Amino acid sequence: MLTRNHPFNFLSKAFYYPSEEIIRHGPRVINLLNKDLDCGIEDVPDIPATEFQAEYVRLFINSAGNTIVPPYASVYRHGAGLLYQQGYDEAVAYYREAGVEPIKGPEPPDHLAHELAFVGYLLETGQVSLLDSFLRRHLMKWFPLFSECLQKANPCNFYHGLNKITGACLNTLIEEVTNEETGIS
Amino acid sequence: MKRREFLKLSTATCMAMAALGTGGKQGLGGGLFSPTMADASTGQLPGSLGAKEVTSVCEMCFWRCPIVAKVKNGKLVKIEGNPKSPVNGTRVCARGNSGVQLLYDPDRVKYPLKRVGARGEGKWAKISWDEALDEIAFNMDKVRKKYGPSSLAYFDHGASAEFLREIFKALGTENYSNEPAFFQCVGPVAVSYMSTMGYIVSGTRQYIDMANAKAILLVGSHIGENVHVSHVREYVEGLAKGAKLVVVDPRFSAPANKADIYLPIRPGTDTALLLTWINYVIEHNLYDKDFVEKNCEGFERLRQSVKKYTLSWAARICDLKVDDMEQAILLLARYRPNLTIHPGRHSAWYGNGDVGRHQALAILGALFGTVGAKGGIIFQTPVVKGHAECLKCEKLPSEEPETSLRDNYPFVEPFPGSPTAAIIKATLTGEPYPIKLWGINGVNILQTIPNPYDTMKAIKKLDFIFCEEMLMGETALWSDIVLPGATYLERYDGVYVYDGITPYLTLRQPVVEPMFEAKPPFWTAKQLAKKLKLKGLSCEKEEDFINEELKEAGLSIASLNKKGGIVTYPGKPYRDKDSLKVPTESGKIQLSVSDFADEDLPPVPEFIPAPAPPEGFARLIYGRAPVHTFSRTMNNLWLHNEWPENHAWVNDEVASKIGLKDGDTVILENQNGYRSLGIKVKVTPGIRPDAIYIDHGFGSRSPFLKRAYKRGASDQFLITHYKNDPFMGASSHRTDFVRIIKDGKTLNIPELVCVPPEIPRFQIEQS
Repeated sequence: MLTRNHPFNFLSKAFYYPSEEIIRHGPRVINLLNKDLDCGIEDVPDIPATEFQAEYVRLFINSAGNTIVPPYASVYRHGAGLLYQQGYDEAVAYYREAGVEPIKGPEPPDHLAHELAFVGYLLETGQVSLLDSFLRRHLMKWFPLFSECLQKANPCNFYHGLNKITGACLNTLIEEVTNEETGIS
Repeated sequence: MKRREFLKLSTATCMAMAALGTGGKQGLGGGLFSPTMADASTGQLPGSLGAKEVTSVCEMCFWRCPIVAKVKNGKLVKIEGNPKSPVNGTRVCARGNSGVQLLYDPDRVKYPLKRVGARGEGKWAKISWDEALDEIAFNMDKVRKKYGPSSLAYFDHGASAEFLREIFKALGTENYSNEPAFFQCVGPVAVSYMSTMGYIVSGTRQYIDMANAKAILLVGSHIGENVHVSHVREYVEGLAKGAKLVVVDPRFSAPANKADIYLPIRPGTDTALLLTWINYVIEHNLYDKDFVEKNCEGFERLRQSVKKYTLSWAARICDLKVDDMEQAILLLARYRPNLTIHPGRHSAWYGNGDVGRHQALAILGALFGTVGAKGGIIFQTPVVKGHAECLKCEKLPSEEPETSLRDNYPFVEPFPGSPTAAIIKATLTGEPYPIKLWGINGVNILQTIPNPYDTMKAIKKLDFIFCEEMLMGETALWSDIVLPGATYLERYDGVYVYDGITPYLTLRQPVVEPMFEAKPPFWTAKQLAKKLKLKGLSCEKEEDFINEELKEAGLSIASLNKKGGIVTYPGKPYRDKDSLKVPTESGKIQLSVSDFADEDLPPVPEFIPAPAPPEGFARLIYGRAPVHTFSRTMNNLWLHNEWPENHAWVNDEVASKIGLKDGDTVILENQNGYRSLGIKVKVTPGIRPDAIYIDHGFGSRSPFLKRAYKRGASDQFLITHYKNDPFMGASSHRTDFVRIIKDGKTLNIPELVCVPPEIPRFQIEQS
């Protein structure tokens, strides 16, 4: 059914702390994905490394005031926004069901990067039914909330684009998976 | 099943992703997963059922209650008291329960961070531990070589700070242990009791026997608002068994609510009352003559010295009724020697006279023969614990500074480090020597040390500042490098012994693995020692030194855990007055301390009036919220929900005269024009008209603490005038005054109580 040329490993890597490769090539990939998927976002310019990293810290690691955007399922699936709660349990249960376990640390396994990589894994291994459940009952329960918070935090173009593209990919995927599950093609 | 591309990606995109190593099929789940999953069957049971139990020691405050952590699938789900603990049993306080929320707070410091904006701006890059420690080591070495060893200063508090302290000590600074515990809190009371009784009756802990007391005197101690579980339990047990309670406090505090006699004293006059009582007890032969003859020295000097303090004089000074004061002292005398004269704890109040106030409490306890008596002051029961050599760090050859920051304080000797106020002044002025680097661990210096505005100015003058933190409080905000510290639930510390009434030995140990890149402080110190090429801290891991410390007690980590994480010993808290020998040089209690006289300080306490509020102001007083610890817990979800902000207690008559209503939001302005954040008013007859009270630790200025930020007012940011205790250099905290601003209009506090001529008025221009 699904693809080998999926973007989820890229999206996963882009939601981690910006590596040299992401700083150098990430904006170009976002621009290409934008063109392919017709997301209508502004072109992402190259960003100096320090600015790139400071922006990541501001958004996802230690955020100030109301702009907090922790990239963990648990924060959005738990009424008070704590780590290692329901969202974490859900993610771990899905990994277990797929017969895999997250590589240890430093990030909790319900980090968005882990979950996007897991989506890629389910695509690659053709576990459609599990993918459908993971998306509907878990990832898409919190990603839209995360996405909204990220947008409110007034992110730089790169994270604005990454946010939009990830949303577009997940929405398209969920549609495709539904079709696959219901036999519509 | 059909095969199709669900997203039509161009060749260019696929090639670009592939070049990044992020095309499809990049290892299992992008390399983030492996193919197995450990069995976790206990996860199916609800709540904490089926959880693994790990014993440890709480650090939500510094009382160190033994706990049991319940862990399921590597996740902490619940904290309870250790049922084998003789002091708290299965109980923990609200904060103890809420340790789970500290561990899983998304506002935690997760990675080493390097400042990439201006100091205090809060702009960071994540860096590796190696890079962070390289930078710290480079700067420590550079500053030490350029300005000398004492140009390094370390502000530290609590167990997590101890290992890094060894590094600062080894580098040769005299400013290695500037604990807020001593210089903002217990220093004066510790000096008083060490000099009078020969041991620290009150420091971190209070060696008293409230559970068996027939009467208890509390002077400004807010037990129940200041919650230390075993201390509160002993107090409540005493009351439940019928103990009478006398409370002296300008505010109708939680214990005042339970008092048989409540004395709403004028702030700053406690010593006047105590000296008057001492005189009364002597004059009316209410003291234990036999005890005093056998066990005390300096009685005659004391007797002569306190003669002038009469009840009628005290009534005017303290704004109390003669009859009430008399009834109170008669009630206490009735129950001697089974009487707790509580020594107090936080004692850095007015600078001048703080040691004398607690000395007076010690003297009163001695005159009533309470030392070694059931219900009185108890003796420590030493518990055997070894010392691990591998924790030491060899000191580099270093010259002592020509002028020490400790020089002005003759009784600072038992305390490590230098008075914090002296360090901040030296950093600001470069005198008597420059201080150019600060390390901080376990203390929010801006919410703890008076005049945070000076502290911020001093930080701007530093070449380098780093901290180890768990949450992004103000200290982290101002640092160049922030290291993510492991919480008490993620690390070992040393072996803890309790030498009080029910002695025990226990151990803090990790209940879960450190989250993110948080590291235990021992690891951090060890790596830093290596980078600085210091010899020492040679234990490979924490377990090595802990086993070494346990060996002398015939234990190991494994055997201690088998015993439920705690071993108890019989206590020997009481002594017969005929064979009492206190650990002073002569073995006698010093009612007059000749060592003080040798340094031109009063050997017997004297009343030194604290200046009264200037016209239009009330004295700012503060205390603890029962569910919070300093400024450390305001971001904790459960505790925030319980007590999200503080309130300004304003006397009802005062409020009526200036048009304030309960719940109004106001700003407090101090005598130097510094203003608080908005705070709600609590209008109450339960506070004197010449004082305004707020809970300590609120009003966070760090936007990185999303729950605590700008909630309530910070007492510390209103304390800009302070005096230093002449004995050991503690900074005073009750020497500032506030008035109210409502809707932009300044409301002066009307003076409803006359100030007697013996009490001078605070002069604003002098501050």
